[in-house]
Amino acid sequence: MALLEDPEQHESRALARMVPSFSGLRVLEIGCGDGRVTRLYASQARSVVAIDPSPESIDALRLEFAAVDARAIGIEELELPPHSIDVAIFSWSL
Amino acid sequence: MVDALRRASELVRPTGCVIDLHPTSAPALVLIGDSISGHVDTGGAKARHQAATDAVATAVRSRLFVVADTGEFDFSVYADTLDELQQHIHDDWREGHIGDVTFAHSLAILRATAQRPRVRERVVINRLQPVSA
Repeated sequence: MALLEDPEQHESRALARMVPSFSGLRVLEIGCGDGRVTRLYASQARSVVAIDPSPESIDALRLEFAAVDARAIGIEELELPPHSIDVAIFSWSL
Repeated sequence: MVDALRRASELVRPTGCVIDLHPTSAPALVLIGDSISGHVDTGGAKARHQAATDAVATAVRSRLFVVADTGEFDFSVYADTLDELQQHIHDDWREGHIGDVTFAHSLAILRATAQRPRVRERVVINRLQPVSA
C-alpha cells in the first residue's frame, strides 16, 4: 500500500467551504507541486494556470493535467493581465 | 511573502478572492492510530509557518485584503511503516525528520497495535477578499 494523503478529505472540505464551486472560474495556483490541490478543483474550473519553481513538479503535473497551463516559475516571474483571475490559491506556498 | 500576496492582489479581479493554505506553527505530530507518539523535528519550519501567518496579517493591515473567512483542519499522511513515513518526510518536506526518541516510542506502540503510522499537521485556510481602491 502506498502513502495515503488526507483520506479524511479535510482539505477538500475546507476548500469547498471557501469556494463552493469552481465552475466557470479562472484559477491561478501558486506552489502547485505535483498537483495535490489542483486535483480538487481542476475538472470544474474554466481555466487553470499552475506555477511552481520546481521543473520536476511541473512535469508531473503536466502528465496528469493536459489542460492546465503549468509553468515552472515563481510568482515574481509570472506574466498575466491585471485582474484576469477569479481565484488565486497559495497551496502551502506562502 | 507579502510581496507574493501583493502580486496576487494585482492579478485577482475585484470580485475574486485569494485562498491561502499553510500549516500553522503547531508541532506536526506522529501518531499510531489515535495515540500520539511524539512530534516531527521540523527545523526552521515553525518559523516559516509563523512568517506565513504574519504575512497574511501584514497584507490585511496594509489594506490589500480583508479576511472574508478562515478555518483550520488536520491534514494527515498515512504510511505502512515508520520507515516509509520517515522517507516521506525526508523526500517531501523542506526539512524535518522523526527523531530517535519518537521513532522508538512509535515502534513500541506499533508492536501493540495493527494501526498505521501517520504524521498530522494543523493547517489554516483563509479566504482573502481584495479591498477595492
